[in-house]
Amino acid sequence: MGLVSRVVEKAGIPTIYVSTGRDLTLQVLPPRSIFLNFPMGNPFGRPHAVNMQREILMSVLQHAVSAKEPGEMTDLPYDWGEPILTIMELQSGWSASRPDPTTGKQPT
Amino acid sequence: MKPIDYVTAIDDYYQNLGYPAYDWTVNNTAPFTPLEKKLVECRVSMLTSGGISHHTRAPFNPVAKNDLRVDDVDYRSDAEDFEINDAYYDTRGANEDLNVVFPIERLRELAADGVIGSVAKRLWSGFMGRTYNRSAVVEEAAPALVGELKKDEVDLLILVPA
Repeated sequence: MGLVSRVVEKAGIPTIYVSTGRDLTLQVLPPRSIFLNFPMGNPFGRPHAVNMQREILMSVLQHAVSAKEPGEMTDLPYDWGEPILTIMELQSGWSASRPDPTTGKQPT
Repeated sequence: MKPIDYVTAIDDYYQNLGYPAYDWTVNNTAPFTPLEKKLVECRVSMLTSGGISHHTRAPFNPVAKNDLRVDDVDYRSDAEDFEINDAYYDTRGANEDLNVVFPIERLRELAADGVIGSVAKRLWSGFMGRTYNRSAVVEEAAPALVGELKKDEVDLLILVPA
């Protein structure tokens, strides 16, 4: 998705990337990003927390306006309120993408 | 709480299985297109890779690899008319309320309240799962999406990876 962000931006359409993986995002470096220290894939917070979701979306849009440096990331100060587990810790999804044991290559 | 170091977590995960290190894409510079319009003048679209599909479409493969499928999503869609199939993130919250990963209702509200100009007629769901064929994304699928965004005269794209 970071790569998609870069292609879209390069083609002349501004993008804003809503990250829950801070180090992953800074590696691929989308043009503008905002980081929420929430579980992966839950960037707008808790289900049905309408005000919080709206607030976060407002911050996302505002960063799209205010970011001036290519690759600029803003950290939002929200706290998830409990330990965040990775999907590797939570379930078996990752084991489904194990590389081939003999070649070490990812299955295609 | 400190952000999770996913790079190390993923590297360790593969190393513990006895596999070679993951070949990360690392960029030191980024392209940049200034947002010239005010938000209130912007037509905003949104793309998620969270494996969400409208009930009128086929579900995504939850363990997909190199799936270049990108669905258009009618901006008027009811948030309850989607299913989520993605084994690579914790979907419990998003299953309860789509807005957690794809804030379609919040976006419509901001348009109705005059914060943004409008929501683009088509929003997007795709690039889910694991992508190892990066050139297919950069050279084919992403440019195809750009073409559609231009047709819709989108001023700003929000990307929500999952």
